[in-house]
Amino acid sequence: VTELKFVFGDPEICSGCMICTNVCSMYYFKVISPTRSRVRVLRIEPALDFPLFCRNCKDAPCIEACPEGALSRTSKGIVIVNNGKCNGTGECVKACPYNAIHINPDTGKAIKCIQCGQCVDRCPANALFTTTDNDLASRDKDGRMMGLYEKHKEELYSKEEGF
Amino acid sequence: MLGVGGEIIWVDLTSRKIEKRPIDVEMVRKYLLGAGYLSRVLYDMIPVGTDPLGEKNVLGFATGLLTGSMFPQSSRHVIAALSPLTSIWGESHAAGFWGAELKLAGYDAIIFTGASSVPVYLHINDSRVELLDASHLWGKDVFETDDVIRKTHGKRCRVLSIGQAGENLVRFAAIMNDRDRASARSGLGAVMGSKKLKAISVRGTGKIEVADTKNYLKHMDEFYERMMSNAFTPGRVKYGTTSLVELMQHIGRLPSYNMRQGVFDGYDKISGDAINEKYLVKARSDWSCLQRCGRYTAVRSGPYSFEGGAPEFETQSSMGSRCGNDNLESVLFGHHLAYYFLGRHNIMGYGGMG
Repeated sequence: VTELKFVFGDPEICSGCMICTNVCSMYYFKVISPTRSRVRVLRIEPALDFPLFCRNCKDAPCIEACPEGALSRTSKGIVIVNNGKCNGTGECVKACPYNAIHINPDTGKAIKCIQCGQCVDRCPANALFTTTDNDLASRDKDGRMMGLYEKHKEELYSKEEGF
Repeated sequence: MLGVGGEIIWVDLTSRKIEKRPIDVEMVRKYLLGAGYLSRVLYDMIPVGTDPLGEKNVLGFATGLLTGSMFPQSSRHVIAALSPLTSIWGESHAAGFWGAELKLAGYDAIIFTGASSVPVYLHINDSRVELLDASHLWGKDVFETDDVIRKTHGKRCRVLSIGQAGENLVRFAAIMNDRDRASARSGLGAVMGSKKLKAISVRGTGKIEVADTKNYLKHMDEFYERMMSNAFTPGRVKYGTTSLVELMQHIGRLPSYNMRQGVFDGYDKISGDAINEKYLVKARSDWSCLQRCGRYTAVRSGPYSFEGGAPEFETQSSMGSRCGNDNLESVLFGHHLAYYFLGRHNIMGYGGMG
């Protein structure tokens, strides 16, 4: 079994510039629009900036939640949206514990990070990296990064329209 | 027209009438957006002899043609009106996210005429634009105002506001946005205060379209590469503008002892290195900025304890060398205090010149 990959960012290194969100919306939808990006960035005081990506959960509640069966996991372990099946019910959005799936207002389809790495390559602060559970545990031995996400989870993962 | 928000919001604060008009493409071609656009609009609208703090003054907020794009450092907006300091053209710029958010909501500028008799704030949520009661915000500093407005309208809302100095018509009051970004020059905070306009909050979930969608990212990659490989960039990332203290000292033009001399013996105690050694928490960016020159610092104990955005060269020199003060903690704290109402450039005495 392939180890599940996901993109992650250090909230103490991320400077909050939102280049990742704009790279994403431009790469996939040819517009500049944080609302149409697969990654979101939230600034929380004091001095934290959180880039929010799909965590590629093992149990992937989004797959289970979709009444149309539009979400599935590929052989490479990436959870993808089948646009032919998705009709924007938003059940996956509600089910995601990390606020990492959104409905693109133009297409009415769900969008989520598929670990393409376009933003990772362009992050000027080198705050982003593609990782796995094991890799992250070794990068974050003292739990500093995960601790910050945990501490602010309510604000980070609460849903807000258009965010 | 691509790359723009598309509309201008006109607000008459006296009659509380809000109007949206499409941008005049000819006017944009002639004056671009930003300060060029505002200079024409305000020139046409403000009669000679107008009192800067009277209701005939016109207060304009505008984004530039690149604001909200992916071009490096494209976060800025400009504010203009008759300056209460000079009674002539007053113009002040700031970075942050507010300008980009305005663009994403579908607007390139906001023009305020008249004056309200009671405190109000303008809230923009995409196509919905409304003047709301701000009596609960009047008297609050810009941080509290930011907290309250984002609690009311959502965490992704971007807030621009005045503090107590603007409310009380202090003639060098700043307009602040995104908590610690300042449009400090020309005292435009007092103009906002004279109109009883406490804040402008924006939430934009729209999009900015570009002409060459196929190659846009490729072009940006070239710009990003150039900027990241520029010799100036590593220093900017490491020091922001704080390394200028050392540079100015070496060329003998570090404003010191109320401008009596250009060198300051204690310069190394207030330098960028001194800040990095003990007080720097993080380098922060505004929208689409690669150099993250914003400093976020903390003094953890003592009479000057604080945590927040600070400082810039202007405050190191104005509260440090210019006062003959080499107590760095007091300089950092002073910068932080200034955010409550003044803005760093005015501390330095640039007011009305910018």
